Amino acid sequence: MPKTPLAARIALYCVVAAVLTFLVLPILAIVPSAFSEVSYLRIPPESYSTRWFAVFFEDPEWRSSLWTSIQIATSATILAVILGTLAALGLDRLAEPWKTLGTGLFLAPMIVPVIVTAVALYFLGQQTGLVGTKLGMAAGHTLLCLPFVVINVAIALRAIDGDWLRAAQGLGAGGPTIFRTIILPNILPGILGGTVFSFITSFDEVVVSIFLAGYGAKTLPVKMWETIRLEFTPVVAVAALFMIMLTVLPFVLTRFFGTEPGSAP
Amino acid sequence: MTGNKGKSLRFEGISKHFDAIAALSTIDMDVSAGEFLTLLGPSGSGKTTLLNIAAGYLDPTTGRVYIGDEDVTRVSPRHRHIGMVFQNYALFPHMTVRQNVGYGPMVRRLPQDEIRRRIETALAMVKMEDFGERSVEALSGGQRQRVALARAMAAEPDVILMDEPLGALDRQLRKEVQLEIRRLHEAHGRTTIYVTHDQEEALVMSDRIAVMRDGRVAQQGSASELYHRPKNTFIARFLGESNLISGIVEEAGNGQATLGVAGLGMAFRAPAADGLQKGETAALLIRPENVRLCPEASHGITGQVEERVFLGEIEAIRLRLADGTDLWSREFATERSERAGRLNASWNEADARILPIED
Repeated sequence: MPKTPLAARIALYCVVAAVLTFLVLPILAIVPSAFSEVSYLRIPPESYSTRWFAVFFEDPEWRSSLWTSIQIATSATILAVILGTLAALGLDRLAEPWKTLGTGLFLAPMIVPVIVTAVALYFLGQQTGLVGTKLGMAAGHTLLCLPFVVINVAIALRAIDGDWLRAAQGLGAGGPTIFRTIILPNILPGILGGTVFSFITSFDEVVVSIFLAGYGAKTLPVKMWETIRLEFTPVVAVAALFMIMLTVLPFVLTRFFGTEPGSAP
Repeated sequence: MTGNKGKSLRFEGISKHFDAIAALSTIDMDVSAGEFLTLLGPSGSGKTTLLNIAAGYLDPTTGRVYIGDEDVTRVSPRHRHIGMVFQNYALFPHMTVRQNVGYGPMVRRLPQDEIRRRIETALAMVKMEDFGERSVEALSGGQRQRVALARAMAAEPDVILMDEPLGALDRQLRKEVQLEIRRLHEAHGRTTIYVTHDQEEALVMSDRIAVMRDGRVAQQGSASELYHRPKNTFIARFLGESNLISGIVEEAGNGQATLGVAGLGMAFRAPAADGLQKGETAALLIRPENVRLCPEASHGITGQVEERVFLGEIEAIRLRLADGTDLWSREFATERSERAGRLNASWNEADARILPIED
């Protein structure tokens, strides 16, 4: 490859840096404002304190909304990972055109505008009494998380050679053993990727959440939304900081385990 | 492991249809314990289908499969005690060489030291002892196929089934692994069914070859039987080099026939395949190594030297006969040999053979 001239490279780096700054800076700007001392938002703050962290943790509503978010994201992730993995395994065995059709159905929640899904879930939730319950919220989020698991696991499954399964069978392995010793280890990166995307999708979901939250299932983003409409204090920045931390954490963890989300084995 | 020859395998009236297409029609075949049988045929001849039916990966449309005395037609592959070797190795990529080889004993829940013993024996068989802890991804093609062989052997199967195991290897490696498989079979003598489209592989390794064509067994027998006494021109062409001169049967009976070749204005007498009728079109087979060349004489077949191909110890020479057909001869090459101009070709009557034509 011909070497790029120095001037061109410097120009390229500058553009890249500018784009990254433009993308990330507004998000990072929230960090110092969480440590502000005064009760209004200014960037950068004039003086620093941790008083808004205290406010966040002393307020039962903030505390419980953070806890609710973690609970719902965890249960939606578990449900989506189990159902999505099973769905991907099942879809993999279907013949065309059912495979494409089935996959399309499972990916629908990702394609249909979220507001439509939200309205639909709201109607359904009204009739079944699930609006304002954590169960209803978790079920709704599961629906939104499902496509990420199905896609990631389906990609991982594509790398599995049918002859591996035949070889294992010929060597005496039954269905469950083949799943445990051959299929699972090979789709694990896909499952892990699906898990990360599910958790993040549920944790920062706001549209469906606003419709389904009611009083009983107020998640952190819903609480932030409500708060901002009344007053704009640095406590919202504290909540945002937690949001950032909890969404970045899963990515860092998968990095730590040496696999990239969404990558095939 | 030594002394265990595995079990016999028998196909009884096996046929297989995919929708309306017949992939196999009525195959009856016995493979005795310890035998090395090769299914040889062009692609689409049904050889792999038959192998998969033996393994249990496919159900036959009709017929039964026996391993030993047991009818295994409805038995799942996992209970058939087979060792399958695939063209693309089918090693488990997330496991080390040892884990791959030990997979069979492991899923059959053998005691730990038995598993270890089997792994060590199998790896020693294919001379891969030093590679046990390697990831299979780090191995070359030849090494991978050795590990796949070891994995099949470690399961101590009743029958070993190989589906074009050398197909993905380059020529040099193919010869090496080919000899390895033959040596393994000689040392451990397990019943083996080997599928290939490569005639050389079949000739080198097999006790018996079944040539398959269009879902049927066209002919079976030892390599030398098939080479020297092919049933028809298809088999003759498929195994080895051949000269075929077509003509009309003038007389047939007692395993002999006379073939009249109008273009050459001659008639040839030779041993004949069964069932030739007077008046039928047939072909005279002469293997190139049986053709003798000498300076032109007043009688016999003469031809013009058109081409000489140097093959190392052998030289192939192409003569064009009076009617335009080619006759290849193969003889040991010497630097003195100067084959040119018009030559006389001859052969022993007993080395030629008259065959029905089948393309």
